[in-house]
This record gives sequence, structure tokens and C-alpha cells, in this order.
Amino acid sequence: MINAKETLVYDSYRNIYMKLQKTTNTFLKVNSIDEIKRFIYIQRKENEDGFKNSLIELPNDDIKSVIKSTYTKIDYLEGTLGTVDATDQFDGITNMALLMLMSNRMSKYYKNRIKSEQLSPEEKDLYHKNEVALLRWKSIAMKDLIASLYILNKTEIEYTDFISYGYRQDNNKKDSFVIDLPYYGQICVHFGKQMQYILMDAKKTVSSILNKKLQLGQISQEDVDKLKQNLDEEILPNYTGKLYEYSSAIPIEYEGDKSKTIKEHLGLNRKLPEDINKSDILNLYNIGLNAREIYYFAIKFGLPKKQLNYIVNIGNKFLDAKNIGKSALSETTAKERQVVNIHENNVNINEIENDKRGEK
Amino acid sequence: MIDIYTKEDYAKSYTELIEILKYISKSDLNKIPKDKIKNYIKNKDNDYIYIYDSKKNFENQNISKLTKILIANLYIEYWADEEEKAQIKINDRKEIYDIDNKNAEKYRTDNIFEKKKKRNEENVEETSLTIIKKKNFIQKIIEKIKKKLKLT
Repeated sequence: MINAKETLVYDSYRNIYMKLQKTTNTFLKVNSIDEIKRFIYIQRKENEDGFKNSLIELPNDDIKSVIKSTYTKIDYLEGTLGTVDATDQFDGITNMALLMLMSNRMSKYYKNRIKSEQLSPEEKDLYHKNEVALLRWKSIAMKDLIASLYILNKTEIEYTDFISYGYRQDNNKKDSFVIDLPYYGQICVHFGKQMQYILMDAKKTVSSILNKKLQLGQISQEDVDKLKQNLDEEILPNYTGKLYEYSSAIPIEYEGDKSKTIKEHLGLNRKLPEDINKSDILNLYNIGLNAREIYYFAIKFGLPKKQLNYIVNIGNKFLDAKNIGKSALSETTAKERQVVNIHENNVNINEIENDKRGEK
Repeated sequence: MIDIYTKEDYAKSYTELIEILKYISKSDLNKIPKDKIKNYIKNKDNDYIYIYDSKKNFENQNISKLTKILIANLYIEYWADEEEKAQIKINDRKEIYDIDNKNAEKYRTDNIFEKKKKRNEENVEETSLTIIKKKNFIQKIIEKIKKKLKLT
């Protein structure tokens, strides 16, 4: 049973990791391999934008061990949030984002189990407590994540505006937090009814972290005052990327065969994320990937926010042939198309005849 | 009712289509035979200027119905995957078959006379209220004699 008596403090990196490990292990325990695979494969299908994602692939190895190893590999972090070096802060953010996802997923699992008629009253009570505890873990993870991203952005130059994240309403107008987690994938989680409280607590967490950094000599008083002043406006930016993976799948740090082939074909396997240029991105369109696949590829490649935004801009200028074709198809009848087809074929035949006469 | 398109309509649509194709990825564009593209370019309306508004989505663009038909045909022929193509062809065949059947029934000529005969028969039944039994020649003579002899 998960301890429901969690008080609202900002977590240490160690505590975040322990919770991530627990939620991941529980997730793997209650879901069969087939269920996990089925869930992941569903994400490949056409989404609301009309795009499939053929780059969501499953490893040949046991999927459970891959999820476990990738979700729990960052086990070395110690210390207070935001006071470690930039690379460790980045890794800590990865753990927080995954904890947010997994606690959200597991709370839904218990919520759905409660509706099952086969449970005893005691079991239902236990599952309800688990659900509540996990929702709390999710809220805390979101708060810590928002605060940590703010600190990383504002205090570490090499990571300024690096990670694409922010607030967005999803297509059902629900308040959501979206993060394009480098090397893993896109994660989208609803705030639920807690948004204002989460943001309020995130601001408090930022203040606490800044005070600690000041104490450790990592930041000046002037910078602390400036950052606290802008906190209300800047604590959670609007998401400027493109939301495609509404269900988040189970983002794993895995590179499928198709992705590998693309990288080799375009010479990207010899490049680091910071070396990817506009021409490389255009090539991804020209080899036939759709907008969703390109964005997914870019996140897993580790591209920073600026490149992802460029991809979104280019995507807006490109028309997806299949999508416009389907749209046009829905507005025309078979007879109309047949008539035009016949006309065009006749014109072609006449032109061929004229050309032949011309040649003679 | 199917619209009839003139040569000028096609020319304008080719202009719109070429502009739209500029926004398609190279890989999708390369699926269309070069001769077809050349045909569009050769027969487009050079005096008609069409600009695709990249700020609007495709559904909200100001393009003609004929252009949409051309795009739909390109999709079926070159962009749809095999499964989609097969399904579209099945649906189209059924739609055209149903239309042709309806028209065939409406404009049938082999049963015109049958219909007419049937209509006449119905009219006769409706108008005749009493049955009149026709008398033959001999019956008429007998009646006349009876009348003369005042037997009736």
C-alpha cells in the first residue's frame, strides 16, 4: 500500500526517484506484456490531426525490462532541487516528468479498478486510498517539475529555453501540462482541478530554491530579486510546440529500426542534436515522414525547443498530401470524380494523337 | 446533378492546383507522373492569379470545386495507401452502380407500353360502375316481338 500521509514539501531528488521506482514497478506488476504492447501500438494509429506515427516501435527485448531500465536508470542524484549542476538538474527533471506520468497513470488504474464489482469493500477502500495518494504524488511532481524547469531556464545559460514545455488546453479544453522530454517523448498530463494550487506551490518552491542557491553562493541577491519579481508571469509559459501524443504512450528511450534507417539515410547518425540544421529538418519532410512523425523523431533525437518550434513552423507551411486528399475526397462524389477523370484521360489521348501527327 | 466544366474552368483549376502542389513535400510530389504535372502547367490559366493562404488550413482555402475533385483524384491514384485505395474503389463502384440503377429505372423504355396498358385498365375499372350486358341480334328480335305482342 502506498503511504497516503504525504505532506506538501518539495521533494529531494532521492525521494522523487524512490517514488518513480515504486510507481514503475507497480505499473509493470499490474499490466501484462500484451496489455502494455497493445497500449503502445494503439498510439501508432491515426490521431485527431489525421497522422499516424510509424516511428513508435517496440523493442525486441522484453518490453517490461526496457521500461524498468530506462525509467529507473537515473538513480544517482542527491541533494536539493535546483542546487546541483545543470546536467544533474536536467536529469532530475527527467525523473520528475516520468513520475508525473506514472503516478497519473497508476491513479487512473486504481480509479478504474474501484468501479469493478468484483472487489470487496476493503479492497475498494484500499484502492481509493492508493488513488488519492497517487494523485497527490502527481500534483507534487508537477509542482516540482514546473519549479525546476523555471530554475533551469533562468539560472543555467546552456539550458535556457532548451526544453520545450508549458501550458496548453487539449482538444477537450482541459488544462494540461505538456513537456517534450528529450530522448523520451512527448508527455501531456491534465492538471485536473488542482491547477491554481499547483502553480501557487510551484512559486513557493521556486522562492525556496532561490533562497537555498543564494545561501550556497550560487546566485546573487540581485538575481534572486529579479527572478522572484517575474515569477507570477513566467512560472508557467504557454506551450509553443505541437501536441500530437495526447495519450503520451509509454515514452521509452528506445530507437526503433525505422528511426535508425532514417538517421543512416540522412547522415544524422554522425550528428549531435546541436548540429542538426534546417536542411536536415527539410530532408525529413522530403523523405515522406508526416508532421507528427517528424516532431516525434526530433524529440527523441534530443532537439532543443528552438529546433522543435522551427519544425512546427515548417509543418504549418507544408501540406500533408494525404490529409488534403481525404478532405477533398469527402467533399466530392464518385460521379463527379469519374466525369473529371474521363475528361482528363480524353484530353491526354487527344494530346498524344496531336503529338503523333506533329511528329509525322 | 453533375456540373459540366468548361476548358476555362479546367485552366483556372490547374492554376490553383499547381500553387497548392508547391506546398506538398517532394516525396509526395514525386509520386505524380511528370507528364501530368507538365499537362497542368501547359494548360493552366496564366492570367489567373491564385495565392494559397498558408495561415489558413486547407478546408478554409478559396478553391473551386473542380480543384477539389482534381486533388481527390490525385489522392486516390497516388497518395492513398493500398488499403485506402481499395476501400475507396469499392465505395465509388457502389455509389455509381446505385446512381446508374436509379437512372436506368427512371428512363426504362421496355416497359412503357406495359405501363400504359396498366394505366388504361385502371381507368376503365375506376369509371365503369355498372356492368352492361350486351345483347345479341336474336335477343333483340325476340324483345321487339314481345313488345309488339305486349307480353312484357
